[in-house]
Amino acid sequence: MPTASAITSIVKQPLSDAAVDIWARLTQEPIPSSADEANIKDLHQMIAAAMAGESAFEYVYDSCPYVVIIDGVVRITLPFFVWPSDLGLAYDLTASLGTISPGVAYEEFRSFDAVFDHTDSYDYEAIFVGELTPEMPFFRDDGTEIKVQPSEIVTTGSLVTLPEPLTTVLRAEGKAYGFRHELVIEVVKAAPAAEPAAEEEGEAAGPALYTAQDLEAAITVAWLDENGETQSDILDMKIPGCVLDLLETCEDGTPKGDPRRPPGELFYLYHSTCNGEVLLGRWEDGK
Amino acid sequence: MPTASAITAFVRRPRPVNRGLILEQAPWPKGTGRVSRLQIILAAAARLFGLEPPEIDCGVDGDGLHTAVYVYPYDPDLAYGFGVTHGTLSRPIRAYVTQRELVSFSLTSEESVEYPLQELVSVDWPDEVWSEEGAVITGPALSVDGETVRSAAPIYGTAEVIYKTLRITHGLQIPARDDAVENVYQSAFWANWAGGVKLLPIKPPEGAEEDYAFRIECTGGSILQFPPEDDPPPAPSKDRTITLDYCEDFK
Repeated sequence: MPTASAITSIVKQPLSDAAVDIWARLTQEPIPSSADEANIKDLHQMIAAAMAGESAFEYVYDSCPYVVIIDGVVRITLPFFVWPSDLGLAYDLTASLGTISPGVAYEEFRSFDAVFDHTDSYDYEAIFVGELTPEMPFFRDDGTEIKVQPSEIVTTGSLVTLPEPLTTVLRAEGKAYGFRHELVIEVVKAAPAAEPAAEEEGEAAGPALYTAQDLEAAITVAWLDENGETQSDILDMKIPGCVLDLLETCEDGTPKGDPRRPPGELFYLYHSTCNGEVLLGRWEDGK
Repeated sequence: MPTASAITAFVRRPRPVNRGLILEQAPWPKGTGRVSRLQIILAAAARLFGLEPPEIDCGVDGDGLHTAVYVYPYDPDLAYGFGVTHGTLSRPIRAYVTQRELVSFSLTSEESVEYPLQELVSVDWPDEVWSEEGAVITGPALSVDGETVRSAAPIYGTAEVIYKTLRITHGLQIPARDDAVENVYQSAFWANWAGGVKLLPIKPPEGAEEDYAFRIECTGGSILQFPPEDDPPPAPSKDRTITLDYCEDFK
């Protein structure tokens, strides 16, 4: 089992005899749209907060589990998967930014349509073990229907094959097998424009300064193929919208505030009772 | 300036059966599965002032999603078998529909319309036509042969073709696959005939799979609702408490 560490090589292990076509694929753990953009639920919660006499600033939607802020350092954790052709395959992982956690053997229930459109093979993204159920007849290219016995549908690793090129759909229910890693990036939000020295000294020790615009990360997996040649695959990591939003700067160039204020603090908004003009807004002890 | 020429020829040739048909899913109405800014503002106003909340079309209701598959046979008499891998089909409806297409020529003299052409209504140059040198010229004669539109000379220009095509509509209702862990609305329509077979995977509306995964219900196909066990409203303040029920308050 690979035990990847941060931007380091993984101990090579022998492949099983069954492996013929050797590969490794990368996918990022899907990011729900609720982590990309606010939805009407968030709106309701913020309105409810305001109507309850609390500050809507207090509301932090809980669908952004990718980031924590500790002592001003933003730690972003982005899970991703390595799907090897053989669970014994040795692979190397590198990241253009951040560090990579050791791999953890991973299996996940999957259900999907294996679509054969005038073809005799379907290649899934991962090693798959499960049941395949035909949901329509098997048709040859000339439109004639034929019978295919279950024994003629062969699954090898990620590959499902039929006895000849056909058009059909098989419903797959089972498990995919691979390894789960996490890319961990620690950054400090870009300093205000009034403090440019901090950016100029970005190479100093400690987390780098980043804004939403320049935060990019890619993962590379490398392995030896059946001919002993090095192959690789690259995955550009998607940064969730809620993380980018956190790293955005305000209109005056200053970083947005940390929404995870210490418990007990509330954002007080002072306004004129004469004309409603906002006089002051600040965090204060809520007691 | 239009420099039109009349239809000079329309050839309706007997078509080989093996051209078969075209499969197409009816497009989802614009905005399906999305919440617009206006709807957000209206939702806020509804919450604050007790107004009717805006309707939101998720494209999915308690019975699943409802869509349609269009079949365009090249031969109106084509006999084909059909089916769907998941869901229920309604009785097909045959109708000749009028298509208006703009066919662009880029120094070419032969282009095609998109659907099987059963009856030509008109073909014309609605706008200026240019020669290779960029000069405005009189539109060359146009002819239509089957689905092929020909210009008598290679030019730059756009022809407007209005024609009738046979469209057979298969209504389709797809319930969620309750026993599936993902891809709950996945389905495909198939059609076979003497000479070929085609498959059309059905696209669910945007966000439908995720709504199902997170149990965001869209009952009645109009209003987004959230189950009561989802995020409760924020903790009440010392002054005033308002409790929201995402099933009842946002109907």
